[in-house]
Amino acid sequence: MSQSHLQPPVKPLLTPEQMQRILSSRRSITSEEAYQEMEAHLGRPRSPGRRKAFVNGREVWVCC
Amino acid sequence: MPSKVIRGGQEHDIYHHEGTDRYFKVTRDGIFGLAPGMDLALVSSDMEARRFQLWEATPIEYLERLLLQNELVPGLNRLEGVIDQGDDLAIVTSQPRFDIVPVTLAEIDAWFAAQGFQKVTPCGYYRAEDNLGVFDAHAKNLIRFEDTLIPFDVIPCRPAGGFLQFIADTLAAGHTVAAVRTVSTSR
Repeated sequence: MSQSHLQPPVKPLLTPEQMQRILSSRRSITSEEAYQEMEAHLGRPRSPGRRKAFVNGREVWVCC
Repeated sequence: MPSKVIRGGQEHDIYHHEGTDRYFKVTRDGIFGLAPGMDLALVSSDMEARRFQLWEATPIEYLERLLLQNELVPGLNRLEGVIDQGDDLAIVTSQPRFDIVPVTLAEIDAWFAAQGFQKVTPCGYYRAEDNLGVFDAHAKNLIRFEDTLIPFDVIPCRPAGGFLQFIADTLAAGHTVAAVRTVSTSR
């Protein structure tokens, strides 16, 4: 990715005008509602999905 | 920054700020997401499905990913700062909150196809026109707005070298990679 100057220009997936329209059309919600929406979308509670830990001297992922 | 924390994705603590209606994302545990690539040790084998992998990204790869996301979706990410606590580095960014309208995998497939992409993996797409790969494009990482999709947490990349060749060979063979392995140890 550091060779980006050699790459063809990226064709955007959304335009700035689309983004402006998307953002200005948002309904206003509280943080609590935002978190509830996010949990519903992710399909899991707020608890972390996994963490790194050392087990028997090895760095591994563990569920929390 | 608000005091309430939500564990959203696997690599961030996420805070919502009502005033700006933005999510502040703080990397945690020294994890900076994933970067697509290949296991060169398996290149000479015939284990094609295991050659394509998502590796733990470095901080630079993480920032490059955010930059590339911004080229795809203007104004998506804002770099807010870096927290340096000795051996624990965290990157703080923010994204606007979007109203969540879920999409299906079939809709994601169709949308990327309409944008000129070919499917490489179950949630990975490639567009030769601008040498752009978009991976991790599953239903949790895109949402709908009217007739378009918003890829707010996908992994874009500009493949090169052996990785690009692997994608080209896969597409030329007319198939997709069925299995993608996530590598959870640092390179």
